[in-house]
Amino acid sequence: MNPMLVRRARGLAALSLLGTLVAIAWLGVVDPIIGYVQSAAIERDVSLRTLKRNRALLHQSAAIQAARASVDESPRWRNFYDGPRADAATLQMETDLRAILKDSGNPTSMVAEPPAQQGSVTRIAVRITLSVRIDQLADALDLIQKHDRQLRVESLTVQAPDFQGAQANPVLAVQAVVTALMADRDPEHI
Amino acid sequence: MTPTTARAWLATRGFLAWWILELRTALAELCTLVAPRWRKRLTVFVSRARLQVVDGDSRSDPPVVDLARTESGSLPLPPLSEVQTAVVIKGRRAQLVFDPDFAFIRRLRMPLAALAHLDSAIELQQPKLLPLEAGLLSAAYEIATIDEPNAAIDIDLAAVKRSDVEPLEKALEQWGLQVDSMHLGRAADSRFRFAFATSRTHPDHFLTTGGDILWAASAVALMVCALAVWELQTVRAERSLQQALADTAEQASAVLEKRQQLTSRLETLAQLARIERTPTAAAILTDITRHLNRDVWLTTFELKGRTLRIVGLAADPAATVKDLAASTLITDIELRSSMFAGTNTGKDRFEITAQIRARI
Repeated sequence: MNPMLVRRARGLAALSLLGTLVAIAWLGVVDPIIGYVQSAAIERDVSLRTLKRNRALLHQSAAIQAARASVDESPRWRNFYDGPRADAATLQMETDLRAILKDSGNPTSMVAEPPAQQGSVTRIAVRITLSVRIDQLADALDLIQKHDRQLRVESLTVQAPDFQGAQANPVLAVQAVVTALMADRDPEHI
Repeated sequence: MTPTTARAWLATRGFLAWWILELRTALAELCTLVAPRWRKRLTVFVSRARLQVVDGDSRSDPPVVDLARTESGSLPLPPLSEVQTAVVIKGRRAQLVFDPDFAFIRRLRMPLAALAHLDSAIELQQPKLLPLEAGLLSAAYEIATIDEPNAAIDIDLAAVKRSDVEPLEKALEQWGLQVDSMHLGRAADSRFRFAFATSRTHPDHFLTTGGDILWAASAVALMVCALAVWELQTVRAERSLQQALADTAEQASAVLEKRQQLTSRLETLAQLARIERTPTAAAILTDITRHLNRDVWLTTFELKGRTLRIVGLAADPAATVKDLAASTLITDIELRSSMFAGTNTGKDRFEITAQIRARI
């Protein structure tokens, strides 16, 4: 065999062995140490971010308190029915609607619909059926719109007779779904 | 030490010696390939007749310096030529390889148990084994074989006269070379034997002087101190961080809860505002009525969510659609159907659908 080749083979074997040793040392010692150091650095980074966030929150504490007080005192809360009981709010809404429609003739029927959660508020609704003239309907809609609570006619169906005289004011069949929002004014329940 | 352990120890030592030699050779070849002008260690072969200096340790290369020695110890060495000086530059390392003729070599047998303390065991035996006083000789040994059945080891002990070695070493240093190792061998040998102590290094010890040991110990101590300080600081920083987190966590959690409540309440108000921005049924009814011609008669007004459907009678339903198109509250107006309502009315019955605009 060529002695030069044998020498090269020996050198290659020695280098391979060195490479293997370096790889084992790297994978067995250096890499775990680097992993540990990196993991510790990440954990520390997370802790530092948390601390920074905590301090920022504490710094904002007074501003949040003030904003909270301002929001709680907003007159807009009067536009909501008070929670947390939806049936009580619906009952209150029915009473309000009867008062509104008192001048327009009491509604033929008034049926409460099941309450539905919509985000942080609860939608309460009442389906009413009326027989009114157009001017009474306009007055009723106007009163509903101007009510303290935020009442809203979500669905309105008005049926008029097919034929009528030129100056007639016929009775209209009206079906409406009036909705309102109920919010819990006690912030702890939000 | 058991025979198996001794054998393993010897095999390991032999393997490591082979490995280091091969790596050094490979490194030298790599250096030759990458930086051919980088100076390798010189090898100085010394026999009774000649002194040859070879670049590297390749026995096949021609010597860069070849001096005849007419008599033993023909010193000082002659000055070098310009070409030779270019090779033998000052500070270059060299290994000194003496012909075995210079050495007194003796094989001795020792119990295997002495393997762990071979240095001191041989040092004790040297006065009895060497022909001259030990102070006049430079000695080195190698383990030749291990006789396991008899629990013994054979050791080759070699000694060269200091009077042969030291003048030559000094002469080479005058040339500017640094002799860092000394062996026995010939140019044809596959490997050089024995490792004698030189004035610069001791063959069997990594650290040669007390100063070296002091420096090394100081460096290690400094490193350990640095690591300890680093670890201490890390632990202290981690503790203070955890303490700060614990101090702020509870209050921050309460503030965060309040902020979330605030956001929730603002969202509730925003929801109300969104509803208020959409047109009311009253507004739509008024707007539709305002845009219709006086001769148009509605029989059905149906508003469901955002969809509006109106049914009625009109002389010209197409014109009614056109009139309704002027409304700002409705869009997508479509005439769904139109049919003659009868000769007595003179009008057509129509059905129109439209969509309520999302916001005013």
